Amino acid sequence: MKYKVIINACSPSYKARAEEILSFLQEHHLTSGNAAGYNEAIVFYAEEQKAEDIINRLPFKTFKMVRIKHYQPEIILTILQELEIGSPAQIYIFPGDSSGNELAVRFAWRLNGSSLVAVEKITIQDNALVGIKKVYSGNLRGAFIFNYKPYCFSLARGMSRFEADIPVEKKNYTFHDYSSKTISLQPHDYLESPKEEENKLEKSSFIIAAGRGTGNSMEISRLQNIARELGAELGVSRPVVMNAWAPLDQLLGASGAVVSPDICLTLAVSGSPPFYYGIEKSKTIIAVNHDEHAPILKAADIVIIDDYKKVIDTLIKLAADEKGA
Amino acid sequence: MSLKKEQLIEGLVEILGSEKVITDPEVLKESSVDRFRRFEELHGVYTQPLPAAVVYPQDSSQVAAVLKFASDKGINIVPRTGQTATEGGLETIVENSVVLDGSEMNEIIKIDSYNMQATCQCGTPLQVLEDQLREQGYTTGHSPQSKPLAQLGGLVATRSIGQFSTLYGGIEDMVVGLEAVFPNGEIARIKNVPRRAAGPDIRHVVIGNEGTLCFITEVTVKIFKFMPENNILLGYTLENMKTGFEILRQIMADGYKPSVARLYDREDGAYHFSHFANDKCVLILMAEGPKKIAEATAEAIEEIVGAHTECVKVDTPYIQTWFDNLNWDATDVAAERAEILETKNIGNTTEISADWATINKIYEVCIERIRNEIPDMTLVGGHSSHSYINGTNLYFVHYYNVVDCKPEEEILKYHHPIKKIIVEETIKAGGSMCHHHGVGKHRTPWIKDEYGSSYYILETLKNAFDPEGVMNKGTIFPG
Amino acid sequence: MRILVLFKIVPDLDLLQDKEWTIKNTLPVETAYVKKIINVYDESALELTLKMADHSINNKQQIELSAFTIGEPHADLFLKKLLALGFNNTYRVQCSADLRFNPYAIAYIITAFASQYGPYDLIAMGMQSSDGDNAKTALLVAEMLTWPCITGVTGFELRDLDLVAVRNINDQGLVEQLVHEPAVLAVGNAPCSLLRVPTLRDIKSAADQEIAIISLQSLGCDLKKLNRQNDTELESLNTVNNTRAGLVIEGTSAEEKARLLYEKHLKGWLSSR
Repeated sequence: MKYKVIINACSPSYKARAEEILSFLQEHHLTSGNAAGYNEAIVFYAEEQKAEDIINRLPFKTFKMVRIKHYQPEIILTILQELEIGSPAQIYIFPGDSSGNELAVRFAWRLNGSSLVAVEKITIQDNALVGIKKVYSGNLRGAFIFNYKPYCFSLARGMSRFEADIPVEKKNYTFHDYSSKTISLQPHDYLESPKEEENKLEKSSFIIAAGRGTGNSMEISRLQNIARELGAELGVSRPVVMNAWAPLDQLLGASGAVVSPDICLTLAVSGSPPFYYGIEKSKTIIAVNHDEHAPILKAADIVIIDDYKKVIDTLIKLAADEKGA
Repeated sequence: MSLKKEQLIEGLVEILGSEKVITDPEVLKESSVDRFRRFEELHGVYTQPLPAAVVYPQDSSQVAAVLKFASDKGINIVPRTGQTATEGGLETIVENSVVLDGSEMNEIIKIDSYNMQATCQCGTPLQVLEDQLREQGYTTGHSPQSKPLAQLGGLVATRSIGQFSTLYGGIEDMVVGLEAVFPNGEIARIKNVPRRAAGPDIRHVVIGNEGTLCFITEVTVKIFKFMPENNILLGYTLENMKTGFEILRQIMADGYKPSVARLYDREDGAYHFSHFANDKCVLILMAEGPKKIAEATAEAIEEIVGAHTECVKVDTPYIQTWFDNLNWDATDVAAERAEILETKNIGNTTEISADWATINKIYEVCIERIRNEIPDMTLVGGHSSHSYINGTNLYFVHYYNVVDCKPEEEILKYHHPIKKIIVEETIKAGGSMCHHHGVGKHRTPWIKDEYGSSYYILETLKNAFDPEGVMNKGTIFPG
Repeated sequence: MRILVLFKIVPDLDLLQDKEWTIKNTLPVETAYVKKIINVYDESALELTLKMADHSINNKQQIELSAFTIGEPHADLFLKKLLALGFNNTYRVQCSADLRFNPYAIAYIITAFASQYGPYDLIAMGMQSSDGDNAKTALLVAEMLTWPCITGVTGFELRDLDLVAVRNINDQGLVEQLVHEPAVLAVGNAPCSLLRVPTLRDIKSAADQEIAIISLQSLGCDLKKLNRQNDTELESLNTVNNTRAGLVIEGTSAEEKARLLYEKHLKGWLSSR
């Protein structure tokens, strides 16, 4: 089946998202098409960005570079519609982030196709596509049949990545300038510009994850310091963020960051499926919880059943002694 | 007080070693209150005098030494273990009190499955004991909502009760023997025998003393065979609490012993059961024990309930899901705290008991008065959860939005006036103002009314065992 | 200014035990006997709307709040609560069909409703629900109405009668933007957005207000057709297995356990970094 990949290069994490898509394509044996120049990636980038940098960093061979003013889903959708409506591909793959989800659903609607959000796997049988994704807050996996072409889906967050270094001379790309494009539907007028940085959690090799059981915002700020001392990043579960004990960019889970550190140390985390989603790619999960029935304990590699405060205080002491020695 | 704080701490360190004498200001703050003042605490407001120290004895002789020291020097002692008290029993109302925490004395000394009894130190969490027993096919039969957090010493000291009490009884029916330390340093052991008629049952001096007479260091409780496979859960919806009380009465009077016997009113029930009992009362019963007994009990219950046409049976999975989520652990407590802070909506409970002839009257008048007299109420309701041959309890649940008042004014504006209505109406009707949370510090104004002429006996115990008045001042006995 | 907030009543999945997810490959999952709650993201949408209205009282702007759901009568309890909290109108489309995995039908019904009972200036709802996890409804409503959609909303307030300042999280981080009406707001992880609790007095004074019950037929919606037109169809469900080794570090104290963890599993790795 002919497919295309959509990349939102306005997002600071576009390279990671593209590598996730590449890995997905390889797992599903879909890469040959791109190599043959048959399939392509459509890349949206903001006018202030350097196109060459993006071309260099993207692990694809054939792509369209579409220049826009800035990220604005309505404009991207209108352009995408204009570009694709004549002879649409059968499959459109969108990245595993919030713009990917939004564009997949809305683009499918505009082309009378079907869409699925946060897909982990697909199977193609007799010209039909089945997408597999988590449902019931991550408690189950569902398999969905796509009914109408084109089939549009976004990947699940934090899928595995494949880094490919493709020399620029092997890449085919064309430029399309839509930076002066306006549409009647133009609601966005930014009061505060978005931050231009990647989520720190995604890059960290050591994450300490704090759950609601830590009790209050003071304790969370204490843990922020402890994490810093140990050279770790602090991530938190949804209740911690919803209580405003920690900022949103520290949220781990299905609706936050999905991480893959070497070590993830969870403190007073119960381990609900939506949270676990955020850390399940960790190489080693160490869980500390006083409640021996907490679900996280079964889903961890190493477990301490005890008061996490005493455990983390001892760890800090041992690490400091080691440094001093 | 004659002793300066520094000397006091020195004295404690001499007995326990410095590691077991905690003076960290944050620890002292949170040790000055219990759940009764959690609204203040959540806002970082501490209105009670802070204790001088929280101390962790390791054995009975250390407890004795600390109590003797306190008694000699006139230092107020607030005993505690799992810290799940709800009625102010753990508030330190005296300057430079010492909080005596038994939670590090947490050894399960013996599980004697032949004689069907288990002995543990005061700091043993009930959950730990229960889990160990269940692994061997036994149970304590004790299951208060605080099971994941509460410890044996505190459970006995407050005369706690569990969700299966209608079959197994309250903690007073389970305690076989115990060890307690009195303020003069005397260590008293009450031996474990099936029964005796050798004078008054002195266990009852200790059970429910709320740390005002002695410190409980060791407890032996009965154990029972654990046969959850025989459990039969039954649930019904009905229109009137009165009908529900009548059904409970019939079940008890006819001699049946369900382990769970709970009757929820519409308001309290709405929180748990609205998905199947919208605007209805809910009656839940569980038959357990040996298979034949459980089956016979369930059959009889169905027959008794069946005679009341307003009762409609509910499918078991509805009740089972509720039942599986009955207890409160640390995560629930943390979630509740966050919710209170954000919504300014806080809930408390007041538990009373009365005979069958009176209970519904107390229920009706209290609900009506709280609704009309207390501002900003968001929920007033209740349930009966422990039944006896001659009567039952009522667990009033009262939630309100804290509006236009400082955190430290919340209790005066809302909680005390609510308690006052319930307590006064109950005593007036001849019931008891405390069913299973203990008196704590906020129901003491009515303790003499509660006891009437028998207060003489209670007061004499205090005078005899704590002549210096150093044991948890302000609890049970007015300060 | 007319604002419509959409919400869904869902089972509180936290109350289900592990064993209940080890299925049985039967469709659909039976959750009837689990306590119902307002879907968490929808709850945030409702509270953020009330917060916005609180602030606008000072601006003396005219705001009309409507709450809407699709489902069976047990949702009325929640609608009554919303009336007590100050929503002017509440609507329930009577529907007993299982639409958990048919966001297309849900969006279609919403759009039909909004066209018939509107015009609305803003439509707010959660970005996804805890059972279906489709994350499509808000986007489809925007498409069907040809309105813009802001996703990941964490807060909003009125700047003018046709201008809303919206804070949201997108892939670039936290953004604040001015949005011209009409627009669909899909609420995401919005801190401090637990729904407030009405007092008994609020409930009493709203007791006379009625919930409007609407039939699918009156909205011109044919369930059979909507099911047929669903763009994706659930074929099967499978258990998710997250089990790992769960090696328990034993020790007599927390300190000892921490020391064992450090020596065996952390020390070498930390120093090799």
